[in-house]
Amino acid sequence: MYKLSAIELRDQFFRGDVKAVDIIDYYLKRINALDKDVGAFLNLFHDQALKQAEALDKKKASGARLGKLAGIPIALKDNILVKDEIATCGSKFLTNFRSPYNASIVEMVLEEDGIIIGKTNMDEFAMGSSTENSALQKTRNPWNLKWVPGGSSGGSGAAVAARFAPIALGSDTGGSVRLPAAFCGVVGYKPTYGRVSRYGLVAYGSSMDQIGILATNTADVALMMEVIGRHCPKDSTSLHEECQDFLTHFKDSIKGMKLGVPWKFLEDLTDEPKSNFLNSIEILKMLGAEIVEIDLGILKYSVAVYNILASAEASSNLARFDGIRYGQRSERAKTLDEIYDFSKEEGFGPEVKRRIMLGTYVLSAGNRDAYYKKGQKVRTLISRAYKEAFSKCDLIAMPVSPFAAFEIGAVKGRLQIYMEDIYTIGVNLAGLPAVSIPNGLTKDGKPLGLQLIGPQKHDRNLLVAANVIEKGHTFKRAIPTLADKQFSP
Amino acid sequence: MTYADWEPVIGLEIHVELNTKSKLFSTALNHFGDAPNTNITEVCTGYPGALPVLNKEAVRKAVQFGCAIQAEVAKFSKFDRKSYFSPNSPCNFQITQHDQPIVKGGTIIAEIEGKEQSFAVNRVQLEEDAGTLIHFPTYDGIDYNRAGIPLIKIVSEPCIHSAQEAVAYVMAVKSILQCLDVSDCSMEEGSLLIDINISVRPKGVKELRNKIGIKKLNSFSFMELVIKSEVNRQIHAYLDNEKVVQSIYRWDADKKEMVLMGRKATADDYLYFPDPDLVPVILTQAYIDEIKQSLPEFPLQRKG
Repeated sequence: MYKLSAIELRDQFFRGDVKAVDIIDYYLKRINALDKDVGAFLNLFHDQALKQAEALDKKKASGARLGKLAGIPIALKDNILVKDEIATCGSKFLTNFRSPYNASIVEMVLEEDGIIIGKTNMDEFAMGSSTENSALQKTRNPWNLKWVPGGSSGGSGAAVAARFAPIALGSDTGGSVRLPAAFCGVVGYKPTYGRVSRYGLVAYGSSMDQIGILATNTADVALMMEVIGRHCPKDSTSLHEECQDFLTHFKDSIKGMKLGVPWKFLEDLTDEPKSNFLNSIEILKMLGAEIVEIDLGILKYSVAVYNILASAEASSNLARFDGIRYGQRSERAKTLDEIYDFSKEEGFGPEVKRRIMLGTYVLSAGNRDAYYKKGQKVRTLISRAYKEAFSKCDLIAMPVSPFAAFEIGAVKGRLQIYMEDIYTIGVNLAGLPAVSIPNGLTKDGKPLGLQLIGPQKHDRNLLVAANVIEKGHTFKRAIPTLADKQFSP
Repeated sequence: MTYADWEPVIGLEIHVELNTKSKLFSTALNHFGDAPNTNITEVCTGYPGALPVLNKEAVRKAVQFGCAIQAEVAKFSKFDRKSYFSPNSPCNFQITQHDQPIVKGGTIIAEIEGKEQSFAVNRVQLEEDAGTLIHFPTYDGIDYNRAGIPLIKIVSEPCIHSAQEAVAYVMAVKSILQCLDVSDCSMEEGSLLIDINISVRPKGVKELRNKIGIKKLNSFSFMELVIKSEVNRQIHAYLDNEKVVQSIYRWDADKKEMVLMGRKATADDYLYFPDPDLVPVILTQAYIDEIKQSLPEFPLQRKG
């Protein structure tokens, strides 16, 4: 069963080949048997998921209309809120926080009969690129348990790679869906900013945050987009657009499509990531795409701009975690100021504190013009550069990351970690849709990803092309050895 | 110099709760006097993941007031976050309008001893109210019913020169608000509160001297009393060669006294930046014209 895609699994359920209860029971057992080593999940909705599956079987028996996601087990990053369930965001601060409401996308998934089986590990408040910043547990890459799964949606990436769920949702502020997808050898999709509701996603950098989808293939991503890619009246930045049909628009060819490649910007790419990328370019040519050169040199500033703007927004967004209404309150605190100081000191990890301090610094009266406002100006220039590029091409192709997964604990320099996002961050600054598709392994067996980027709102064209390009690659839907087996319950 | 050579310079900020059905950024009821924490949603309590959505009724009421005082209604305005830590501020920032308010300028015409006098308004901004702190013997409670109620803050120029003028100005503003039915204007319930900035200077001099701020006054008689005594105190201080230290007081309505909140030479740093969860407010000329045409008659303003 674990080899099935989400759509195949659902269709088996539709046909009556398998009961929803059996699907959920199977996946829960699989996770219980195999996740001890991987550490993808923070929390399993064991009873709740089975209860929902039973209800769904009854619904099917009654002949009622079944939703698009009927019977599909779905994992959620732990910064997406489910009513009455704990949402830690990978932080000690929220280990006791139960959400009083559902995120809008949770409502949409439930309406279409999707079954949420649990919450996955992440870098604390989505700040990081390896999931090593989770304050709660380590998540290991299913391809090799010594490696990181990427981040910040590392738990969701590992969960899909290990086939603990055919679809997982994550969030992408600077590459946090695409990077773990690449490191774990699965598909990762970051929609146009505003395409998917942020209501009930715990905010990190609000102007860049976007919920994204991790799955084993692009068709499953498209299915999920048909469910969650819709306007939400509770999110003021939500696009006022009709929900799109994706799957019926899938086609066989990208003949004549113009693909832009910023060759100059990719000059520093070395070794295997480079040969891997060039190999994909050859495949794209064979599929009939025309490769054109574009200039995205300005992206060299994107990491700096991102760190200023995301930190600024984070420092304000995280101010609410003060120990007054929810979350941890320091037991040492005797005064109001001590509640603030000690609760944050005890509840937040070093990376979160660092970004709050940086964000406060760049917003302070004496520094705002030099950092925050200048950062906004460069952000505008970056958006303009993409627009200019899209006047010459339909989509842009780039690697996801300058390197593949590394060993847990191996990268010590923060700058190196930040540079991991150099190819993904520009997309968030400009609010574009982008997808990471697995395009091969390094000699030592580390997955790599090809990134395709579209103009704003061109989510459908992008996924349609990604589906063709995915088929053109021999490396697809590969399962890590560790997970490529049944399990003995 | 003698006492008579000095003139008071007063600027007023009037905080007005709008009588909308729901709050400025949430669907919770805007209603006074209910049991604590009943008119709240996850937006009002600053829960993680909750997002603000602007109430159009509040925008309309702010624009109505702007039109009534012949102000410029901005076709583009935006909301900013003002950061400060307080338990009654659920996100630890207030959503307000920092540098691009919805209404700019405007004139209030008041009647003083039978004569009409004009006062210049600097700006009118839309912002959210905070919750209420309730003090108990061994702990404090917070009621978030008021958190998120829409306010307009009407900021005058420092163009008021006596307690009498200040009272006349506020009365004129209040009568416009009541005429428009945009607020209950109940000073007892706190739906109309006044912040006063007071300084004095030698007559004929343009520069402003150090000011004293008094926040949250809720009655005309106290306002008059506070202005008179503060002006008196400052003039005497200068006559005695003493300094007036810039400071802020809060009006304690129960004890009927000024409580010192802080003395500072520089303004607080509120880390202002545009709220990324909200989109700019874009108004069309047709929208503004429609509101202008539907305004009621005002006893004084129509002549303005």
